Amino acid sequence: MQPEICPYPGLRPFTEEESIFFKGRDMHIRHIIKLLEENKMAFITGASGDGKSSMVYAGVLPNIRAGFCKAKYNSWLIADFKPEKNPFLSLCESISEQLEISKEKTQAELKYGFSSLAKLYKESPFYTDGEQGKNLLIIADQFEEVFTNLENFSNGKPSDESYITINLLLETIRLSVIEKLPIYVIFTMRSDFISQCTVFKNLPEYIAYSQFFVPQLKRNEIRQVIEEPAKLAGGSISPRLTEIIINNLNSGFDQLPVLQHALNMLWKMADNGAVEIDLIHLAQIAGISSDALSTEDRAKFNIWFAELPEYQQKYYENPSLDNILNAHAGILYESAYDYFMENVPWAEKNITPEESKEIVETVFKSLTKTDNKRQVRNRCTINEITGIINKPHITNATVCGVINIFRTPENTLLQPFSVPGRLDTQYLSGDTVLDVTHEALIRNWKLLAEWATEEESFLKDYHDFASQMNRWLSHDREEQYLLSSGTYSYFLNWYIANTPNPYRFLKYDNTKNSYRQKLKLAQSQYENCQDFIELSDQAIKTRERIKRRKLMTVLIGLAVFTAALIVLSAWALNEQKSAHYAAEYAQQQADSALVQKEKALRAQEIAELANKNARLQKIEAQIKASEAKNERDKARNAQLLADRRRREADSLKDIAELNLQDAEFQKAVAEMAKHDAEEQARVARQATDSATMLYSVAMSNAMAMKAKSEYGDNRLNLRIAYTAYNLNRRNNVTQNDAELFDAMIYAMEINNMIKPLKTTTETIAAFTVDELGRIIVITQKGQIFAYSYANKKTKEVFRISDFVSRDLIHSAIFLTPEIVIYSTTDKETFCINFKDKNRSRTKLSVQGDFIKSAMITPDKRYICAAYLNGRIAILDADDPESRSIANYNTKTSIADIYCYGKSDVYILTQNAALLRWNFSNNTTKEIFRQTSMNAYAMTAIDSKRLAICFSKGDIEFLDLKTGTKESDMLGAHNRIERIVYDENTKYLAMASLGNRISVLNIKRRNAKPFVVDDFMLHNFPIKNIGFNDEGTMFVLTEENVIRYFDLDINSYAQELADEKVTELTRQEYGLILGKNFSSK
Amino acid sequence: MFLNLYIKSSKVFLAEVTDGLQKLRSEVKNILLRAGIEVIEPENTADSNLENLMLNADCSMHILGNDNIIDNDSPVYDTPSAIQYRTAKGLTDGNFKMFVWNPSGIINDKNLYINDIRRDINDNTIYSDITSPIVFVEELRAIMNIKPSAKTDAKNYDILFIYNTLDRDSAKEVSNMLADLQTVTELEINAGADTDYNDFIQNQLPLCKLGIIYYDYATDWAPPFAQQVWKQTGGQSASTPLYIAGNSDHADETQLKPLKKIVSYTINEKSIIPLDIKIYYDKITGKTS
Repeated sequence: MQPEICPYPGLRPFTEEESIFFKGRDMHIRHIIKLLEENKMAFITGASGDGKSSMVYAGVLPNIRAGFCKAKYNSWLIADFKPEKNPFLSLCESISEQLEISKEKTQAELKYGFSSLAKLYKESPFYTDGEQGKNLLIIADQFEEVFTNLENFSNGKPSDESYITINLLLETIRLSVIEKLPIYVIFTMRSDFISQCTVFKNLPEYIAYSQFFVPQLKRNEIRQVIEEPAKLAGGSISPRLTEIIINNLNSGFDQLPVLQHALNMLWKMADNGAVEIDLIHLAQIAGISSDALSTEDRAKFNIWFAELPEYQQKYYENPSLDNILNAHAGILYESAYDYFMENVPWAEKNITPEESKEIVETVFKSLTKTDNKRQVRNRCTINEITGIINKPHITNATVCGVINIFRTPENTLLQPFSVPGRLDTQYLSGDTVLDVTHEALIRNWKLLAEWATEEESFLKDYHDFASQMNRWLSHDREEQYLLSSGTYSYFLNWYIANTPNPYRFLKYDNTKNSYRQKLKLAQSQYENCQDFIELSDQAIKTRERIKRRKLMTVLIGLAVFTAALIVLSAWALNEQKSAHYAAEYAQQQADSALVQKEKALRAQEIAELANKNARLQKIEAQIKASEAKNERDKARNAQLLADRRRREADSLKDIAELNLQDAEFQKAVAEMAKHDAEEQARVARQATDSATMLYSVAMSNAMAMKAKSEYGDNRLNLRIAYTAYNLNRRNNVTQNDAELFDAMIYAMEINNMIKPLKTTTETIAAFTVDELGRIIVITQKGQIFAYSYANKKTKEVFRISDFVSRDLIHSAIFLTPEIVIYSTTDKETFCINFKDKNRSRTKLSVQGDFIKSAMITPDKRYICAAYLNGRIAILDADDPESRSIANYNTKTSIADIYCYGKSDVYILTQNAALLRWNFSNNTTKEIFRQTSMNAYAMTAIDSKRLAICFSKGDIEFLDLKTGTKESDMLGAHNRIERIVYDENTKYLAMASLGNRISVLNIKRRNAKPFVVDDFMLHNFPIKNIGFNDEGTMFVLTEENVIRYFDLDINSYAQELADEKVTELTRQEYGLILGKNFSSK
Repeated sequence: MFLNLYIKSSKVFLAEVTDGLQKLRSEVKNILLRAGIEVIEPENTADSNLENLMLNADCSMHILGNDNIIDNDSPVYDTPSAIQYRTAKGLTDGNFKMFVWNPSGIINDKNLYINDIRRDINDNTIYSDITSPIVFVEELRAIMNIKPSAKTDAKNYDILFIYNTLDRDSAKEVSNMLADLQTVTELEINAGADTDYNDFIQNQLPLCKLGIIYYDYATDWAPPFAQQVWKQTGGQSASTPLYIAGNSDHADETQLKPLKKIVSYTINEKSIIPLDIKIYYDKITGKTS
């Protein structure tokens, strides 16, 4: 039985019939029923669009009817109402219908408030002693209308009707609780109005008594909302679609309406649930980008999309869950005209597509309003809307026909919804009230939001205009209260742009008047508007005319006055000039007399001054003569005194010179004595230091040796090694670091402090260390693992399992950290390159034996592969699969090879011959040959010198440039089987027979090499050695573990210090080294 | 009442992450611990042990970063996070749940592998791109915290015959007649009783072969009751079919309007109803075709 109905209602709330698909609120429904059972009421509050009404009608109500609410009777009367514009009348209507009492009687009874409602129920036939009675459930839905409608609540005061309604409901609840009456009340209200409830006495107390705040759905509840209705209806939604919808769903306003609308669209897009609803359907309703689809689905989508008309395609530019509603409404808006032309036979087709769009715009503008800065819905009748459109050829039929596309069962964006085949639901009567199905449409349809803003702006201007007009009206239309010129110009523009009419004014009439009265008032308002505009225009024109006339009069007066002024001014100027000339002549005469007088006075002053100067010069000359005589006497006396002083100084100088000679002699004697003393002290100090150092070296050596003895307490070995280390460090001795290294690693090993690295449990064929210090291993099965190494611990960084094969690896050599060459047990050779995404394994063309040694040329162009049987092949590094570029056969076993320069290969044979083969011109030269010796390994030091290892630990160094040779034992005493040099750390490691590794730092060639002996390697043969940049040596043994050794004894000492290892006490020191040894 | 104070102790396998996300992972770990969730961490991507380690947990959590953790077409490296992701993905074929977190802002828009991840979501994969780790952990805890519903003493019955108190006499009569043909167990729904019928029916009905909702006078009760039972017990995918039987003295088809398309029914004389039920019973149990 496949249901035809869609399990998702879209924007509209769930109906009681659709309760079977209402999911996700089971817990909440049970809670509300519990509140009703216990408290007789539930005050359900929540944000707009969180499904309060759906929860009551599709959740609580069906459960109550189904008998899942404990009550006196098994049947129910449901009296539900919305306050609308008169809550009392709405309540009475609903009660009268349920209790089967006339409206008049109900109103007459209930108008007394308090117990009237309970009394009416108790007196009804539904309240009986037997089982046949019926419980009464009153639902006050959208209770916020008590506050939002100005008829019910204005200037902070509720209307009488609102007050009596609340009084009745609260008292009924009280009596139901006390008298155990089977009456129950449910309120639903938007939570943003809760604070306003305080204006009603007792209401806050009742809310607190039994409130239910609708919680936001949790993730698993949203999942139920999405998936379960489809399941119940026999369909399905893919889990990935569910998860994506949940993630893309915005929390807060409109979460559920947007979700339900999207699900409704998805269901229809998936052939009414006939196929599994998936991502492609979400993309088809503009909810997700097609990029998120699989290649196959994207191709399907693209074909489908290409067939959409262009005007629809633009709605897919910004796909999102919120966009679905916008796209849906936008597409309906654009296709309303076509729908009207094709599906509305009963309306005259006398409009253009533009007019169709204007009709839709006017309808939606009419159905929205701004309330408290929020755009909300505003119910309007068809008549009102047609009136607002106000075009003779656009009738109610045209309006109905154009907007019908928004009301079909598939779309349901406007209510009432149309029913296919029922003309009365399509061609609505003029008094049918239209309403947007959910305010989510206003917030999510971008065009409607713009229209609502425009309407808000219109209203604001209208209020301004009306206030000016009302002032004019209240002053008996006095001219002075008409619009001024600037304001008139503004409002005239507004008036022309908006062409208001009585119906548009009617929309904003919130009085309690009847519709007819309101229309009459709107008509009168409209006429007043016209008068106001027209009279303002006339008044402005009149004022301007008067102003012009006044201006003219003033201008003429000004002209006459100016002419008279000019004549008078000319005569006055002439008179003024004559007087001015006379005055000027008199002034000139007076000035001349004054100058003559001043000249006479000046001559008299000069004569008096000259007389005075002459007297002063005479007095000055007398004073200067007297001063010169005094100075001459003083000079004679000073010369006599100076002669006497010179004689005294000469004798003193002779004495000082004698004293100086004596002091210099004394100083020379003292310096010689001091020098002798210092020399003696230095010799003594040197002797002491030397003795101390020797003592220290001897002591620490002794202790290092002791650290390798058995005491039954392994920790004591640690302490001895630690004491030896500290003794050396205190005396700045480093000569015996090798012994200390040996002692410390031994002591730590027996204390289980040196553990092998944690790597794969698979058998490792080879490893290397890359430039990042990561250890790259290849297992016998061909897996590649990479481990980072820090603080003596490894962590797997990546692994590659692509190259696992049944044939086990016999021998492997890393040419670089990303290129490894290996032979399998059946003597096939492969090369793996995992350098980048295009990683590959290639089988080498040269086969037939195990690989013995391999190297990549310094320019990375060629791989040189040497086989155990003496064959050497040169391969293209980029294409090792192809035929070898050059071949050579030593015809004897190869010990090792080394690639030098562009095309030289040094070949060391096991019978101790070193050959240089140039593979570009295929020439070979024997560099030297040792008789009665075998050779085993070779390495290059800093690409300059070859270190070649022979039997018994002999090493021959060959300078690759000059060809000179040099021999050295380098501390190895046995056959060196493997030699490894690390250019970064300069460490040279030599693994010799007997599982022993000597490590020498080439920078300190005279220093004793560090030795890792077979005990440290658990007696397992060495397979591979590597270093990282920090100087840690990694050793792979046949035990299939990689061991690490820090070649810096300070790090071991630090580790011991961290482990709280203490130095030996004085007594312990004596006991271990003998009593005669001092611990200092 | 619906405030769930019960917190089930859960264990989460917290998968390793690529290098840039270590700090975030550590933050998430602390949040998980403070949310009362035990965290199981891989010591090393230790091969065969990984699956067992995950199965020791109730679910796994994987934080996505910019490094591809799956890219089947051209894998670069098998990072531990990739191996753990794939291992958990394999386990989701059973009852194992994996939580995949794509913290907003970390993965850049051009990184299209996120589309692969999203296309790969199955029933036991919970994918989230919520920004806050606290919200994510809260969601994880809520999903893992589903309290097992209390089981009633449900039994296996052939036919569960449900009726309203209002129709007691009429129902008894039909039930007795039916009992001659098939084993019947009655359930009387009485709004005044203390029984939680909702829970009882949800547990009991799946154990029966057929659920009958019989009504006579209780015409207001039967359709909504049938709707709720149909919904609570799985709708079209319910294991036990529902059959509505109405006494034609008072019942008529119009009352069943919302149910007609989804539930089988009979409106018939009281004496015929047991036969109708028997025929339907035989049909669904395969006794007749």
